[in-house]
Amino acid sequence: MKLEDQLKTRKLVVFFGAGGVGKTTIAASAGLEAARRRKTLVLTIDPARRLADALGVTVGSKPVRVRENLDAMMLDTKLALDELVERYAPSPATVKRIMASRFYAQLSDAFAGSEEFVAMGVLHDLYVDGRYDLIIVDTPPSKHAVDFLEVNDKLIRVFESGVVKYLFKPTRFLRMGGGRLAGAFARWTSAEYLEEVAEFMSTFDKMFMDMEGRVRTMEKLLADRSRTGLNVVTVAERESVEQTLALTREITEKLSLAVETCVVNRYYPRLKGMEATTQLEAPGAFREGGLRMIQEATGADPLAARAFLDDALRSARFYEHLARENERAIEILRARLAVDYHMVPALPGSVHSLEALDRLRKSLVA
Amino acid sequence: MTARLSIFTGKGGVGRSTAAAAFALDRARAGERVRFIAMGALADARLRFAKDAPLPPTLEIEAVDPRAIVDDFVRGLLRLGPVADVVLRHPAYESLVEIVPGLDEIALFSRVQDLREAGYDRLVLDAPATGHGVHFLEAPERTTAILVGKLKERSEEVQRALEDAKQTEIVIVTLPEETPVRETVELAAALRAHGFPLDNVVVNRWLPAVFDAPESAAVLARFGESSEARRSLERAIAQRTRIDVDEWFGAIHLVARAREENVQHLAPLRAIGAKLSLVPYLHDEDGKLAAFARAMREEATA
Repeated sequence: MKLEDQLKTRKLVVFFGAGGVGKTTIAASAGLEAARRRKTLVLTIDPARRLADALGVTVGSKPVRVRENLDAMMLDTKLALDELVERYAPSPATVKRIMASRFYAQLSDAFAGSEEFVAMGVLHDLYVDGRYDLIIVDTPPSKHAVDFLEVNDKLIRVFESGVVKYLFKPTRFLRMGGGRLAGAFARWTSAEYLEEVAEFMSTFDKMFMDMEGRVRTMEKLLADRSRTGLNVVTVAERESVEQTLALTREITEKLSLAVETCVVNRYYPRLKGMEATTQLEAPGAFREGGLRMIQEATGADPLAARAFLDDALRSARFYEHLARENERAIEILRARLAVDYHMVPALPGSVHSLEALDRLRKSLVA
Repeated sequence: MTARLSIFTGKGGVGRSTAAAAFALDRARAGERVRFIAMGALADARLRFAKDAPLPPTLEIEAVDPRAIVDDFVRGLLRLGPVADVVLRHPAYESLVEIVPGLDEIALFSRVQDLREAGYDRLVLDAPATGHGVHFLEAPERTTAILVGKLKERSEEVQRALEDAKQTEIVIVTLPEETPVRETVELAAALRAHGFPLDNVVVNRWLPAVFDAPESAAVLARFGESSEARRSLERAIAQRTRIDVDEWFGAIHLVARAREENVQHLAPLRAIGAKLSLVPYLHDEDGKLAAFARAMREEATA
């Protein structure tokens, strides 16, 4: 289903893709489009504050009003994790101990999945809360996008393996397998550290139990095409296209989720009449005529006219090179990924104002 | 002889892997014995060099799977095969390995450290595209705090080597765009604060110099303002060839604006104070890595 229809009918619209392809700007402009009809939230789970840039708002761990019907939220996952600890820890003393532990200090920085874990929880709460007709999610780049969509799967595996239960009771964990496992770990990590891990886990006992319910809800939601739309964003360059194809394959094959549209962002449409460049570059009457015309039309002196013409022709050549590479990359993409396409041509300058986002919005739903 | 380690960091999509491959190939062609180390599949790592064949015999390519190194390490600790299998197959093992931060990094650096004394002149590491390059490099230090025994010693050794400018050099690859530039400035500051030897900032996809001259830019602006000026140009050109002048000016304007932004981003990058290289937009053609390396060798002039 085309994006504009997803934005009218779905509860959740997700954008994923490699880093630097402009996912956040696409999500934000989709938000502008959706907000014309429905109460919309754009949620971004991206350490770089790109959405804030694009929307020109400061964003924290709470939704911020952008305009009528449209809120934006850049999730500070570290802050959200702290809030979770505060909510679930049995006593203020435990909160303190966990926050001061080495394990916790490293967790939000490096533990692949902790961001996704927290993000999925926040998304669940916002969804269940029902304050918004539509939530648009801008996932973290590339590998993390899979982590994000995969986190439910992973958590379910953890529940089913009973690891959580073992970890809830450190002594039981340490005795497991006749103490061999703990023995093995104790050879390379200190016992105190294992205890820190165990304390964190046991504090999260209740949260894990709560989480199990959330995980099922989110899994159902993500797999339900009447409520959720998954869309991939890419730029029309060879390397990005390869990454996009790999990512999409992983999502469809490994997670059995359907990708509905592909947004090709910032592409350069081919120019017609490129032979004019060659003709204007060659010395002769045509070039002289062009230079005279430039002088007459703009009041420039001959030197400025020549500098301008050379710069213009070089720009056109450069543009055309990119446009041709874009075209080839798009051919590869279309041949290997059969979905609806949204072609978004490049706009001059960075998109970091509501006006620029609105122009983007128009080409997104054109 | 200890091999020098060149670490290439940078977010996904900036051309970090291309830069690392170009550098490795360049050094190998210059006669150094080089090993290029990347994450992921070996076929993908080899593919990076496909357009620059033949490769010199001094270049070796390796793809590393950090998790396999961790498994090997645990197997080594347990010595006995059957016991190792019980541990490695235990559902708790995967979760614990996954949950302890920095293990993959320590495994990777441990592998790199092994190769330091393996007869190479240089190791080129294409670092994983993690959110923050400094977290990757800090992993040994962070992990040292929680480790005991031999692994702790190893981790400390790795950490010392990473902070030693005589043994290690770090290259940041970035793009001349707002977010990548800001992140590069932050990363450079973080590297400095932690004592990591930052050697080179490589700006990829640097646009050709157009409309740098104010008189040329002024003419472009005049055409932008006046559709009448564009119409008369269109008429003049129409004698020979038919083009949509508005469409052309749109394209030219796009390149001009991008170039203008490129130049604006130069000042904060220069202020980092490391060697700064500007690599032009290279098309996907034969000899791409060689061209990339040539541009990377040159230092941007003020």
